Amino acid sequence: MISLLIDTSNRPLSVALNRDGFTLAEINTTVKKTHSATVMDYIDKLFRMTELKKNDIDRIIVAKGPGSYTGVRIGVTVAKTLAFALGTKLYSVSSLFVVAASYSKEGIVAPLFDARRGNVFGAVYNMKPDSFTEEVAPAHMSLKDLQTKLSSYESSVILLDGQENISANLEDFVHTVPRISLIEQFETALEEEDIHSLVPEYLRISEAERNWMEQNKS
Amino acid sequence: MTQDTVILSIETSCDETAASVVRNGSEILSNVVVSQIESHKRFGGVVPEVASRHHVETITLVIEQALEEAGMTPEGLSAVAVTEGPGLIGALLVGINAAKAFSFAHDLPLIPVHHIAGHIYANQLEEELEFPLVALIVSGGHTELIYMEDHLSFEVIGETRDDAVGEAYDKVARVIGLPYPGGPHVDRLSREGADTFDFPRSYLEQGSYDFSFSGLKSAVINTLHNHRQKGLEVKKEDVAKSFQESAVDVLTKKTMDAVEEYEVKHLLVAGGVAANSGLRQRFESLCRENDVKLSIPKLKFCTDNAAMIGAVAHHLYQKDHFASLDLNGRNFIDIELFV
Repeated sequence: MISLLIDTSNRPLSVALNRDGFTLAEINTTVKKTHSATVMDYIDKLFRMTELKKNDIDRIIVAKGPGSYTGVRIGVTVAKTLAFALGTKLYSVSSLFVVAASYSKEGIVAPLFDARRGNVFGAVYNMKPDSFTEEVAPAHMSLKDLQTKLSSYESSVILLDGQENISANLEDFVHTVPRISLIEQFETALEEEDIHSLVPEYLRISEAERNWMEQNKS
Repeated sequence: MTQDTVILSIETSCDETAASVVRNGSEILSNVVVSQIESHKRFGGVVPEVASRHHVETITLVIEQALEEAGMTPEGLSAVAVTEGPGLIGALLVGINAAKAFSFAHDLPLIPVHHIAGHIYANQLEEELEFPLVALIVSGGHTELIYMEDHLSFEVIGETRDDAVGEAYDKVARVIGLPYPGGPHVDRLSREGADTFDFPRSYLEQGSYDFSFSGLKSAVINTLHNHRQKGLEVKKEDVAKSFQESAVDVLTKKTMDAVEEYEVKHLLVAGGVAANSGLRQRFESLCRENDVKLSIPKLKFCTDNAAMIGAVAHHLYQKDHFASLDLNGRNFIDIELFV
């Protein structure tokens, strides 16, 4: 089974082609470049590197968020359209879980993305060699909240892209960026999606809607 | 005999998610437009983040429907075209990435299109363009006079120095208590009013084809404010009519001057405000008097749609104007430099 995997949720970008869960080719970057300009170009490169044909693809797996709103939209749009155009199956995975899987170690891990003003998108997973349990589902919360949740575990590790500003507020974390090629060893993290109805998991309504709801509470 | 060009086009520059299949730049095989207007009404204007979210929800459905209604398979297509800009950047990116993915999946050339060129070429969906011509683009984001010597040759001879005319319409609508989008409501009310306020006409300096609508907008707001302070009743219909007369006077005067100076026989009017009945009627009578051919697209081609993008793309296809997979959206593109 050939899978095309796509993660453009934050500054790091990760795309890969896997055969039966093993990586044939992957491109991972953490440079500050717009994913809109690069992601299709890199996917094209993967096909050239592997000499695979587009119709060889059996499924597409996309990191659906949370993350940068624009970033997750680019990944989801590309994944949806490719799956529609090629007639392949479409799967989604939490962008936070991609980071947890990329850490490749066992134990309690808390991947998080900076959501500004002391807030984060975060989750807590208990990682085992080929399986995991979700201890805290992906959510928008304050960093303090997440730290409180972690304090109930004997030991835990925060996973974060060290280039994110919020890293300055953390005493201890492990710099981890997504490598989506590693995700297929956790089949239960993947969710099969209807191509047309897949939307990003923003985990937050837009600011305009939030303000509108405030004003129209009554 | 030359082969037909059949182009799938995608447009997501603002608040419509649109896809279309057009043959040879003028024959519309399908034209699907999903408007988000109901969602944006509550905010009193288009919210970029909300627009972008809606585009992702419907983009593949809209493309599928455009292909189905056209009875077209990807094998029958010559190329995929997409609006590159100008527009809301986050909104543009959805259409651009969908277009890139689709063109990659089916090995089709990718054609980037300027949104305003699309509005001009909306006219080609109904009749052939006769060069040289002058085009007036009037919408919520644009007020431009463009001279065209030939296909794909755009010379901006005038543009707004402040508000777009459609923007002024929406603001005036808001101050007289009309819902968003205000343009059509102002137009409707104006039919029952009289030009009693005689708002200023801003012609700027002699010989300039530029526009300015912020003075007119302020005059309307100040007049209403003064009346309300004095407890005088204001007839909304008269405000609408007086405002519209000023806007139409300026738009038509400058445009007809350009038609005369550039000695063109064909005038195009395009963009959302081209749907305005006051503007249409005035241009119709002026063009009749001056023996100038006038083209204003049907209502559904005045507002954003993808068929107009396919109409331009036909000519770009003939010139091998293609983009590579690193195409990105741009919120501003100089139309004079885009080809």
